[in-house]
Amino acid sequence: MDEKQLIQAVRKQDPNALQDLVLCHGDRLFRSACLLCGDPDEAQDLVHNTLLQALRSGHRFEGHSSLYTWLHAILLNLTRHYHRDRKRIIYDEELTVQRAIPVEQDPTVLDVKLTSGALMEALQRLSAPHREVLVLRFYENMKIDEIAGQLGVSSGTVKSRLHYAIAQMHSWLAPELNLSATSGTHERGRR
Amino acid sequence: MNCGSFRNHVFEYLDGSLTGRLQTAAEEHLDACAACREFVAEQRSIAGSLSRTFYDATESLHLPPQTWEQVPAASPGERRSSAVGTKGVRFPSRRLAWSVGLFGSAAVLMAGVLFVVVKAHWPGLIHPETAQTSMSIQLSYPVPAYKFHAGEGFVVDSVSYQTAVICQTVAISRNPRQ
Repeated sequence: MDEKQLIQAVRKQDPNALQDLVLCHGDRLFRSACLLCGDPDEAQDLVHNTLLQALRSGHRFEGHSSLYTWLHAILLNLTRHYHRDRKRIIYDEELTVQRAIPVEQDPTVLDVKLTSGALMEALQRLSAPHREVLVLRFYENMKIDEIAGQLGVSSGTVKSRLHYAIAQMHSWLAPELNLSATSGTHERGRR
Repeated sequence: MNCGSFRNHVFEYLDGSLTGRLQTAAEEHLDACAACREFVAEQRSIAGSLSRTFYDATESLHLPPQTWEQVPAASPGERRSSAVGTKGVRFPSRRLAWSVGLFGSAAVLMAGVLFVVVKAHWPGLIHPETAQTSMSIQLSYPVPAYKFHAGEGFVVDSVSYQTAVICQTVAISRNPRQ
């Protein structure tokens, strides 16, 4: 199923479109969700709910953006709810310890923690709005006006958050990830 | 264009999305300002490093296969049909859970208001001394009872309904105005 057929299926709320959505955009949404929330288990739930919500509100997709951009907007919205709800959770120390054991044994989690621990840690130290602009800019490769449209804020706000977030990441990660080294860019590579 | 103005537009400059006049002014400023050339190079370097780091950190991640199985099984039509009265129902959002709870509460409140309004519009009904006969008003409504637990997200373990009944026997006057 190509992009046009997939869009038609989503608009018609065809349940068979779900599998194609997972095939076409599942991994990319999942990676973005991991960066945004820092937890692969939660990221999986977020993607799951994103795809369901996309199908439920498929008739609202007007085609002004790509299907992936629209899906990512839903993901961003759900991630904001996730961060808001997480602030309300009072952690039970005993439950946290019990949960930590199986999570450490999950190879997916291990992979994230070992290969990108510093990045994830630094991202999670940022506030959610600053993390969003970084992920949209450097993972989703969006331009400033695209980010502003996606987040519903002005370009000036996006640039201000971006300057701050880059400065923070630079100060935290420069020694470990050689951030100041001149290198080829992956920018625009996936678009 | 001065340094402050250029640095304010540096992201658009890197995007190549500056408009004609601004693009020209930016290029002229860069030709004349070594500090801003260095700033642009630094921004390019940081952008490249961050971008590469994001990709390297996530390229081995794949959506776990169980999502494949769960998503089609939980298509909207099927969710709607199984969303009430079964165990393990999961609300997609806290907002929806609140809506369901508020709807139940509103139903109870409306039943009470209706009862009061009925009594208010037939004042004779509440004066037994003028009554010559009586009638019984009975209102019944379902009250949802949810059992929640804190799991991954907001999980409802069970939903059950109890029927609440308000019954009132009132006297009816043949001529309430008398």
